[in-house]
Amino acid sequence: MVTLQTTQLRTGGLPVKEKRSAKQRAGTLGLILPGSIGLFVGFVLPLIVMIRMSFNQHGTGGQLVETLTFENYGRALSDPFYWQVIGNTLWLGLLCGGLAVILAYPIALFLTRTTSKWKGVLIALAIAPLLTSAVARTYGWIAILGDQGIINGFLMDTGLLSGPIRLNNDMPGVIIALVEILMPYAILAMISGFGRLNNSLEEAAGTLGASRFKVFMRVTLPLTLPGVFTGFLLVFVLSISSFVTPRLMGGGRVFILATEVYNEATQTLNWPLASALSVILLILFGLLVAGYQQLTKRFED
Amino acid sequence: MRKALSGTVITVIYLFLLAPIIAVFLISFNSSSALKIDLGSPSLQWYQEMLSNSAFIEGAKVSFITAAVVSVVVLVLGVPVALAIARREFPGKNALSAFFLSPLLVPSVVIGLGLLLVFQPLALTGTYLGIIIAHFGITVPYVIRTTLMSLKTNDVSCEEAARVHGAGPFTTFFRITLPIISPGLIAGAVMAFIISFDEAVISLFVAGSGRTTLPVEMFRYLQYRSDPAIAALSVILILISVLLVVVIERVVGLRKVMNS
Amino acid sequence: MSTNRRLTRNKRLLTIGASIVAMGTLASCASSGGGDADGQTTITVLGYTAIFEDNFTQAVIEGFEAQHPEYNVEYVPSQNSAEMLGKLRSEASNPTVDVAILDQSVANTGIQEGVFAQLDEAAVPNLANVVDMGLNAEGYGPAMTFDNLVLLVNPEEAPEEISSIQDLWDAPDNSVAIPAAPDIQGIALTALTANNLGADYQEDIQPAIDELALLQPKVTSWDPQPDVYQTVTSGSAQYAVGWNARGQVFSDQSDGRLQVVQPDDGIAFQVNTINMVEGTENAEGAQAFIDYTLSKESQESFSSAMFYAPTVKNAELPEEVQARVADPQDPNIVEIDWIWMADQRDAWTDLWRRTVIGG
Repeated sequence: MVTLQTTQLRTGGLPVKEKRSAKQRAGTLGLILPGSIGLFVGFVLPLIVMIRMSFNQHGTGGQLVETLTFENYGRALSDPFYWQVIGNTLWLGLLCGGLAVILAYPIALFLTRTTSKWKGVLIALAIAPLLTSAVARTYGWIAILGDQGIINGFLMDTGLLSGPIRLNNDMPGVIIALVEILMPYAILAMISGFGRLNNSLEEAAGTLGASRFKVFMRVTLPLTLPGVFTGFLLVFVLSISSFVTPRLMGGGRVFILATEVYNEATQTLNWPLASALSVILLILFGLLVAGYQQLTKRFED
Repeated sequence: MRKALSGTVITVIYLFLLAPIIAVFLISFNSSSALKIDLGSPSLQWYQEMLSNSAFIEGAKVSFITAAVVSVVVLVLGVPVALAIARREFPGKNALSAFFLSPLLVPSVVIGLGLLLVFQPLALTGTYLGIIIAHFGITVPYVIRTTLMSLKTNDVSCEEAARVHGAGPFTTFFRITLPIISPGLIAGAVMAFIISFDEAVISLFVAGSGRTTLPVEMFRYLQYRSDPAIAALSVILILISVLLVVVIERVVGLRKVMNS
Repeated sequence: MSTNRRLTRNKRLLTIGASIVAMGTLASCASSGGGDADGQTTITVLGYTAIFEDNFTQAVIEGFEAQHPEYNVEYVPSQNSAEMLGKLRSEASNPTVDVAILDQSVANTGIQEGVFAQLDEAAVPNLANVVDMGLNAEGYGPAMTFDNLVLLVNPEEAPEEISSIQDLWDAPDNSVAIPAAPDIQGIALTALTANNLGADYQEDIQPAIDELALLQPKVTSWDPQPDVYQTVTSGSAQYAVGWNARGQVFSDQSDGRLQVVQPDDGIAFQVNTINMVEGTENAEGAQAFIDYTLSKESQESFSSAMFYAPTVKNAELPEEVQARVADPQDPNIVEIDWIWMADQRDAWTDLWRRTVIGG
């Protein structure tokens, strides 16, 4: 705000204002244009082409027929299977978001409060997984959760199990892996959102006789809630659009929008349906983000 | 007692968080090709195997080249936009900044499919140009954000002073603005590099049968093989990231990067 | 055909858009294949990647180039048939590929879209040797390889030997890997199951689907990652269904951990056809290459390398190879009309998802 005022004051005092502002407008355009064209080609154009494709038809024998039809949306929305896919997708997002937040919260709280000289290292360790490719970490989880993996191996060696339990190749494995893979985002969001938290406030409440539980519920939690919300939304959004982990660990049992889109696009070559599903995913996303913004706005008021 | 309890909880969560990385690290020294930790006689055979895999080497080359080009292109095209948003007044400014952040709000599968539909008729799938265009959209929001941050936290008075003393806009930018915001730029470029280097989903769609990036090669490898060569490769990649972080820390200071 | 024209128009629009960005950023990134150095004509062949590419290059392409020094073959590998069709579809107006080897049902979609051209019998004399089952009625690309659905067993981990598709229903829980539809291995399994139930798969598929649904607890993965051959070799699954050719090749590399069993209750063929691309500027070279792949010599050498059954009558395989390859005359063959199937694949996939996997 301060910067804006200075600029206005200065230009306002110049006699050659008109000329300069025309020149400046051209300059502004020159600054904005190249980047905008880049984003148009790499982002907007693909979305437009995809939306157009969603009104085409997948003809008999897999032919692509250029036309204008709502058939694909009709098929996707009138079919209970796709409702189940949408449901699965949302459920996966909610569960991952919830679990990631629950696990990330103590870590974020600890990292905000700690005065240890290892603080830097501990923060780095919590965020380090972000620097490791999701494909590599998914591989790690397959090794841990697989039928011959570390967990099943341990349980069978100790005689707690006679045969392996199915952790990989189904929804539970996907959820475990996704929670871990996306948790660092929640930790990051929370650490930066916990700025308002400050030890003296909690201490004050404590000396005034509030129990630890009460201090947490009345002071800590409300102050950290915005960070928690951001963390949840981030993980929710990222898990809804996750693809690599559900694909490698789902065992063909996990049907979510992202894997459906990929299958239709690359296996059955039904581009119109893949596009329609993408548009549905996009709308779902938009609604959720808008709803979330409303929520945070109300919360902040 | 309480302290011990909370200490245990924190340790357990940390273990969970690092579990796959630890597993990958141990498996990379496996003595057999089994997909489990098997350190009967630790060996480096998978590192050898990985280095002799031409798909990995080619993928790494493609990833390095695209990530490097993307981080330069995204700076050259993104920083002016951030500059305009922070320093100029024009109609539709809010819309423009929303526009440049919007790729973050679109699932990667959706962007990937759209790009596939655009690229296939143009024969851009599996080309450097295709991958670079694809990665531009998802990295530009980060560069604009980091640049905006450093522009906003720095006063315009220096730039004003330079202008008053007769410096042209270019001189002002290169002599004054650029040095001030350079930590933000480096942070943005590094993020763009890492995101482009790690991106798997969009690249998978636009890879086709031509050039592919390393994450796509790894994904495809996992569809046919599950031996620890992938683990060995991951360990190398982790070491490179750590090295990168250390270098940034030495050059600009990690805190500045993290803060933005 | 208006599809094509409109696609072309879209293409032009897109080209303009893309080139704007291209100009500012990168001019020299695209790399194209080298010129024809010694007056040779290049034939571009699109086919499967990985072991198919390796074996095909050694067993077929090298022989062709030795026999026809005027040609040189460039092989473009692709992940699967659908991806190949996607590529051919998108460059229909300006093809860079002359010959494509892909699955018959996907090829049929391509034929309907006008992506492939009819062959000239005079230019492909070896067509006369192709078995009836491998010929296209309208003169499009013929079968180049036959493969068949087999049972894969890990003899070290599997509790019992199996000999038929039906035995899968007696497997222990969590022990079988099956690539579900839309994968054609799942589709072929459905047809074999229908046959075992005495039903005609073209009439009513529901009984077979209900039967497959009973497999649910036995199955550890409906989408094995990595593929079925590695999944069985590593012991993550004890049983699986897969293709004979790859099964045999990987079996040889498995130290006895992967065994291929020809099911005694039904053999389902998968067909790869070799097709000439419509609009190729090199029809002569393309057909010369197709003709060579149908020659006795090429068929024998590729079959010996990869255990595909030959598609020509005059091929004679060494005994040890013959024993590991299905015979197109086998009485157990359950004929699958893959062209009919191309239309049904979506519907069958739906049934699989709802009843077999979801059920």
